[in-house]
Amino acid sequence: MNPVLRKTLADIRRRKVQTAVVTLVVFLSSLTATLALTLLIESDAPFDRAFNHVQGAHLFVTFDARSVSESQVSATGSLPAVSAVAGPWLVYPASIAFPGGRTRFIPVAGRDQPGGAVDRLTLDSGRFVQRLGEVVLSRQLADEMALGVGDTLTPASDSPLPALHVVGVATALGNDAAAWVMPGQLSRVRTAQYLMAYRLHHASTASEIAAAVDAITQSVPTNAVIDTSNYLDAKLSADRTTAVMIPFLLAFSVFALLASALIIANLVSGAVIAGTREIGIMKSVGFTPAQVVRVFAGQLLIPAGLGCLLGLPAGVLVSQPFLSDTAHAFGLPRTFDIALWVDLLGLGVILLVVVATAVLASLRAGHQSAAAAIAAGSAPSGGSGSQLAGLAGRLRAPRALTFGLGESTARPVRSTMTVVAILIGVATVTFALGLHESLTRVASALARDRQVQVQVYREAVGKSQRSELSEQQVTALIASQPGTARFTGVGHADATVPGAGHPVPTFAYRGDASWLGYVPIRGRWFAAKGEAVAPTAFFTRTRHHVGDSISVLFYGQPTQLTLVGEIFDQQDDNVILRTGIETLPGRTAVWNYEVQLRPGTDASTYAAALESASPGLSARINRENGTDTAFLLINSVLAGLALILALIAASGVFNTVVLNTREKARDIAILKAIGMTPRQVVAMILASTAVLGILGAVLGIPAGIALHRNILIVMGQIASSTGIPDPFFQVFGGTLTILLPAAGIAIAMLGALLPAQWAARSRVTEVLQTE
Amino acid sequence: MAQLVQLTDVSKVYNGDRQHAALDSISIGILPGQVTAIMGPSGSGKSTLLNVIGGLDRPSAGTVIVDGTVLSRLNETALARFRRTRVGIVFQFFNLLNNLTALDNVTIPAQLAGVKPADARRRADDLLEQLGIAAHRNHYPARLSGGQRQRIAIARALINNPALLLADEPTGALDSHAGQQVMSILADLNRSGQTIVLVTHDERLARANASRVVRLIDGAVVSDRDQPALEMVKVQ
Repeated sequence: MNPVLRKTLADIRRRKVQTAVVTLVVFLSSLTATLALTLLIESDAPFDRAFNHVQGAHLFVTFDARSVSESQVSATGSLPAVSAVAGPWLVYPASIAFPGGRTRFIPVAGRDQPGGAVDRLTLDSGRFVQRLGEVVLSRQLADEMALGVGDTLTPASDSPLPALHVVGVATALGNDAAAWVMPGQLSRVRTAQYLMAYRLHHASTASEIAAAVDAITQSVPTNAVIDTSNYLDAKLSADRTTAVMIPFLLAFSVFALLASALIIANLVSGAVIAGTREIGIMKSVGFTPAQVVRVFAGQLLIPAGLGCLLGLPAGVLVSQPFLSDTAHAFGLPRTFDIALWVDLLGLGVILLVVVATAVLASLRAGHQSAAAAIAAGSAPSGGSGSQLAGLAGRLRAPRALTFGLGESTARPVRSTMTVVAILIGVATVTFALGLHESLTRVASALARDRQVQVQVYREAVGKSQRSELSEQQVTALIASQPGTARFTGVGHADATVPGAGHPVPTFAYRGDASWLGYVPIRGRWFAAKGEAVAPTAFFTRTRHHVGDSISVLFYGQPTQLTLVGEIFDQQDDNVILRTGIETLPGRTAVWNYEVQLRPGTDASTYAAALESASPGLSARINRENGTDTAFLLINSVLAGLALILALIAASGVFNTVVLNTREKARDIAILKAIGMTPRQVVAMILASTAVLGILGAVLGIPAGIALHRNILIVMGQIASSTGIPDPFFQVFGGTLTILLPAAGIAIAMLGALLPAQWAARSRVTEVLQTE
Repeated sequence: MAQLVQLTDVSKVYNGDRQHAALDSISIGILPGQVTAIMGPSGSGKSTLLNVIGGLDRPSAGTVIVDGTVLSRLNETALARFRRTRVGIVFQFFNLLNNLTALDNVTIPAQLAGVKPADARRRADDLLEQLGIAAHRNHYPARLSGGQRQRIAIARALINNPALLLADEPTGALDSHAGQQVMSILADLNRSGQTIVLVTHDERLARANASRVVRLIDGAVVSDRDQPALEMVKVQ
């Protein structure tokens, strides 16, 4: 056998721990890389991909079944503007009992299969309906009602539908149906509608879609078309959700890839440096520098290759729930299971990092003289590290601990490798915790659930009754509820703003609205008549700045506005204004109310009481549990990745401590021979690693904080239409400042404990005899 | 007089190979104040016997009692404490910690035993003075000669006043002059009452310094003789 191969295989057999650690770290890194790349793909224009994947409908049209026949609706599929259709499906607005005793009307469609030429449904769980009495819920409705497969959807008492057994949960791109039953289930209901899904030849602009709507409307009897919706609205809605989350996913994916590469580079160079003495011996028996490099690259490449081979399928497997969670968070169907070429590319990069690091690290030793390499690889014999050891020995602490403290820097290069491994781990934990906290604040700022628990509408949303109460009466009704802490009325108007491109929706508040929870990015909340605030997109679109005075038209009347603040807001396309109702000319009516409840008031009970007091009102609960499901899911995805990265970092520490203890085997044996107990050996090694852990934490925390800030800013600029308020960055205070150094020490201890125990159990006579 | 060291039917085999036992049913006792030389050719089991007496290794069979302590009853922690306080060990290749000064090397066993640093340093300074290397107390081992290193190793072995000093080829890595100096120190120590077990394959050294010579071949005792008179080597 070729001597290089023989030596390579012999080293792999002899260095079992190193081989196992390299395999494990590369396995975990491949897994992380696969996950990160999967998330990167998932974060790239998710709506467009999902739309293509499910043959999304450009247009949904709802027809009144009393005015048009099924065949007439079907015939619209032959119009020239239409390229493909699905339907018509019978749709019935079913009255459903919601938690708290409220009832809601939801559109239930009769559909016998999830596929088709247009608007394919994606089943997230369970199966599609096969018989009467079964129902499949939309993901959104299932989340809202906390129902899943096996549960029962209970109709309101006045509904002709029976109780329906939930057999599946599906994601649809449109929201024209919230549940699906067998068509026969709706055969006896009155007031039914037909829903038709269209793909159009030309649908890139609203006007092209409007032209198609006109053609469809003209092809059926007058008043037959009762509603339309198009994919541009759905895209806007989906993009609003994804735009805020994508920066976080991108940031973490990029970080995960970088951290994996760094840890592998650290591990491989550490392994090569540990073999410096061996390199000297190899050269002394005739290995050329190139052969030395091949031996080291080979002994690392073989376990690394194995790690990659195992990591790819594991990554694909583990990414499945991550993909589901991400798609669920986006409110979109899953579009792929595996992105093989990207994953293979990722693994190629990992192997390249292994080879490049091994070659670079072994080149230096390979070109040293044999004697110099042997000397460099032997135990240190004094110097600054030794002086530190002497100083540590004078500390008033148990000798095993002070000995460990002194030993921590005895090998500067090795110590640096350990510090780097810990630094990456701590930076990861810092970054992940920071991202988690930032994301939680974003979710809270978007939901504003701490400030507003119930929203009351003067129109009966999804109900048959109409409110007959005046604004003053509704205001008095809300004020009279014992659970009301405070509330604000909101009126709506459109403003004509130069440069906006379309009428700008304006939300006008009656009374103090500063408590509503809109976080300022720049400037402040409006405080006087004529002042207004707007989200980032408004300023970007109109090219105005905070402090500018602008002239706008309300109801055709010019009004002067001073833009006093840029706020974090995700509403419509974010080109909106918020101001006081007194700023608007004329009489603008309040149409809805934002209500803050007194502590201890149950929102469902409050909402039900309000609705029963005036059946024409709608009271909706603002995000049930404090944080949006989507953000919780994204946070769980990030937490999973952070855990894996911390594990990789701990493996890096483990490896460097194994190398350290192997090199210090002689010293440890001597110490045991002169009376150091196994516990003292463990304490000594842990103390030496703890010093490096603290050092890693001291360096890793600012690195993680800087990464958190900068990656978020960059990713936010790339992917989102909104600026990020400073408080979302200022997350590292209080508990985190205690937790993070602890994380550094924990990672160091986790990695060092096992090698320390191995060292404590080593046999003195064997080690000293092999000297 | 009670034996300081008592070995009864002590055997040591590696990897279950009983046909090639490193120690084969050895039973010997060592009185306090004796200098016992363990002799034999390479591979005869001398160092293994010393390791078993010093608690560095456990016998496969038999009983080892040192200074009243039955070593087989001790767990690893108790064995470490035993090594720290009851025996001092001097190795052929010194086994000093290269990144500590001479003084720090000597004080370590005392500090591991919980002696206050100042007390440990005072005792170490006395020993270094007594052994003639006080001037090198702040030097690192790499900067010292073999003889000086071995004297530091002896000081380290004595720092906790052990009942028994074990020396494994203490002059094996030294030139003859340094070797004579080291043996002279051991002789002085013995005169002051220190019990010493000395492993050597040097016949002249054993005859000159030991009051008793135990010879081993293939792990078994082949002779065990007291010597009537000693010719102590003088420090030159």
